[in-house]
Parts: sequence; structure tokens; C-alpha cells
Amino acid sequence: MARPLSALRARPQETAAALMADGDIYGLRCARGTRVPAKGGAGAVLDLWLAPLPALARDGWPVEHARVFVLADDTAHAVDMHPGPRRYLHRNPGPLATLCLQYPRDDAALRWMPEDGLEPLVTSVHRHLMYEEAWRRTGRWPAEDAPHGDRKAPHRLRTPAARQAQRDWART
Amino acid sequence: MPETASSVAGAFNLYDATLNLDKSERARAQKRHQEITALLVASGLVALTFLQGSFARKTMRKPFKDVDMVVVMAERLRAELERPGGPARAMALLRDAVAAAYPSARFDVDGPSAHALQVTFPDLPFTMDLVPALAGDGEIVHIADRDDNRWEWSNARTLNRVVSERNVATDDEWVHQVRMGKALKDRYADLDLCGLAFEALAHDSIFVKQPHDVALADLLRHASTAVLGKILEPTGVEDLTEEWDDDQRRRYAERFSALSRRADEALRLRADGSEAAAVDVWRSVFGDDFPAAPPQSASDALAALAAGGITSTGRAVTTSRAHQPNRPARSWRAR
Repeated sequence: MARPLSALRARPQETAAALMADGDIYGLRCARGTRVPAKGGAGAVLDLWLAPLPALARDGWPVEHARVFVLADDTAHAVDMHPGPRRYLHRNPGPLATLCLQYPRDDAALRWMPEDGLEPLVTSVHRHLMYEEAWRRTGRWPAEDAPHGDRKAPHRLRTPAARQAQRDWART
Repeated sequence: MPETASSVAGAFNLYDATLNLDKSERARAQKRHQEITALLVASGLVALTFLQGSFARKTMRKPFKDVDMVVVMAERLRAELERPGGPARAMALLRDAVAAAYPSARFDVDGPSAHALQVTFPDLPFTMDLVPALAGDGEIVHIADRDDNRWEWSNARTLNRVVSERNVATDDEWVHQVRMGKALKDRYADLDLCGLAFEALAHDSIFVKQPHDVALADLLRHASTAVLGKILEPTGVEDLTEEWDDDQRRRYAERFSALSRRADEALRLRADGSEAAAVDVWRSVFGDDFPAAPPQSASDALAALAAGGITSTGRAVTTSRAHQPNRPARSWRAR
């Protein structure tokens, strides 16, 4: 059972410590939670240091530092805290430069939702950072992604694998 | 170096082989047991002998350290041995008889113990521990205690029988599974419960023949709560936890619970066809003596990351029943 985002907003330090202690997120080397004032109530910032999967670590992939902002309404945004210049395929332009973890018009099966809780959010952020590194190394995004920008009709799923994933992860 | 195994069954078979006693050493122990029995019976001192302990029950792991041999003294000596000093007298009689036949044998090299005359033979890498006993009712014997100068009730023969019956019921798999359970003592210093406690936990959780991984998962699941209460040795007479304190129980429960969660994850992975990932997880339970799974390539890991899960050992898998579910999503960018 994942931790609710409300726990992070209410007790950010303790929740970060509990994430570490539980050991439920592979590669989580360090987590630090901080309470921040946010529009409509208390928000939280969660700093995460995430090691790559062993298969990637063998090839020298780096430990990533991500920062997750959880707002009072439980919306969440993640940014890469890498100190130097870096190329990204799926990162929003603008000063905050949030990572584009998902396409908001996809079926709910293919999206993290606030009620999923904290661990799935961290998993999603971790995977995204590993994918960005894969793209930097190979020029290929390892899974189906959505075209940039939006239009009147939602971007349709292109591959049988993505359609199958949507069926497998359908929310009941 | 442990070998690599891509299937769970193969990995457990390889691991089992690393725990088994050396066959030639086992044969030498049995031969020396028979020789000493023949010698002592012929001398008129002894009515019969039988083996006790983990060697007798076939639950002993490497390294082979000692063979416990219960020596039931001849009835004609009962009156003499039941007098004060009788237990020590019995050991002296055995010592003299063995020394006459094996002049190079040494006795009680590690210091005298209460129950056994320890015999060290220069040609054997293990000791033979002779435990004098007086016959009791049925399977019961009364074993010598030279420290307290008394004969102590023992149902070791019943224990041998009960364990053997369970082993037969599992088609000889049970003792192998017990050895694997006991091997956890070497990996986790906080699991300092006695070997017989592992046998008792296995006796209360493994009843029929089943694959090693299923049996070990059952054992760990049972142990995670059983350590909070009484654990009776397999004959149901003695509570092995009588002297445990609450901290000890809590420590054991935490460790077994953590191991049990991993074991259950490994079972789910195997059930969903992720054999190598399951081997990985079992290796995290048993340590580096357990065979490794073939390493996952970076490209395989990235492909599996699309949807499924991440195991507790960090392998990306396509099943969502790994330790850490990994919901698919399409990355995107607003502009």
C-alpha cells in the first residue's frame, strides 16, 4: 500500500525517512522532505537520490537527483536537479523545466494519479530519468511516447504493446 | 564461485549440493560408528548404540564437525552406573575400551562436556561424541550427565523417528529444505536460534513434497509469526523458546518477515514466468552461495521498464507482481 500524498504534505521529513526505511523503492539512496507554503494550503518538496537499476549501473549510469513538488491539491511536478547542462527529450520548456512524465489525455490506465500515492510517483520519476539517460546515450526513447504538443484529438496509441499495457493496467 | 542458474529449480538444486555433507565423509562416519558399536558390544559393556543429532536426522550441513552416538550400556552394569559417580564411570569404561582398540585416539580434546565423551581419531576430520545412556521405556533412554551426576530423560530416538517419518512423507525433500533454512543462520547473525528450532519450524510448515522454493517460502512465512510464541521440537515435548526474551522474539520476527516478503515475491515472479528475476530474489535471501541469475542486459532492462514492475533486487520485469509495480505511461511535452 502506497503512502498518500497527504502524508508527505503533513509530515514531509518523517515521510521521506519512512520511504527510506521501508526499502520499497529500488535504488532510493536518500530522500529528504521539506514543507513549503503553497497556494491553498501546505505543500511539500521531496528530494530524491535514485541509483540506476543494476543492469544500467554496470554501464556506468549515474545516480540521479530529482525534486518532486506536491501541491496542496495533490498535483505533483518533478524536476531533474542535475547541476550541469543536459539534453532532455521530454521536459517542459520554461523556468521550472518540469519533467513530462505522462500525457494527460491518455487513458487513466497509462497515467499516475494522485490517489496512487507516493511510491508509484517516485517510480515514475525514476523511470523517466533513466529513459532520458537512455535517450542521451542512444538517441532512442525506450518506450512509446506521445508526440510533443497537443491538438483537438488526443494522440492515439501507436503500438500494440501500448494498447496491451492500457488493457492490462485498466483501472476498475 | 557459485554457478549461474536461469531457473529456480536449477538454482535450488545447485544450492542444495553446496550444503550437503561430503558423501565419503558421511560413509566414513557410518563405518566408524559401526566399528565402535561392534567393539563395545563385543566387550560386553554396551547393549546397542544409535546416532542422534543433526547427523542422525540428516539435517547436518557442511562442515561436518561431529557425530553424536548414544551408547546404551549393558543392563548388567545398571546397578553400578546408577550409583553416585555412575555417569563418569560409564564414560571411563567407554574410554578404556576405545583407547585399547584405537591407541591413537584422543579424548575430550575440547574439554569434558556434561553428556558426551568426545573422541578424536587422527584419521577423521570430525569427532565422535559418545553419549552413555541407560535404557528406559520404549524409545526413551536416560543419558549421562557427568556434571550433575545424574541420568537425564531423553527422547532422541523418538525425535529421530518423527523427523524420519516427515522426511519420508516429503519423498526425502524435507531434510534438504531444513538444511537450506538452517543456512540462513550463517547469513544473518541475528538469526541465532538453535538448529533444532529450524527443524521444528520446518516440521510445522512443510508437510508434503513440494518444490524447494514453495517449501522455503512456507517455512519463512510460518516462522515470521511462530517465533512470537512457543515452538515445540518435532516430538511436541519441549518448548525450544522457553529462554527467549521479547527482544529476541521481535528480532527474529522482523528478520523472518522480511525474508518471507522476499520469498513470496520470488514465488510470484516464478509464477508469472520471470524465472531469472526469481533466482535473483532468492539469492538476496540466501546470499552469495546461492547461484546467480544471468545478468539482465541494459537493453532488456529498458524494454521491461515500459510496464510491469521492479523487483526488490532491481530487475525490471514485465509482471506487475514484483515488489515495486511500475505503471506504464507515455512521456510527452506540452510544446
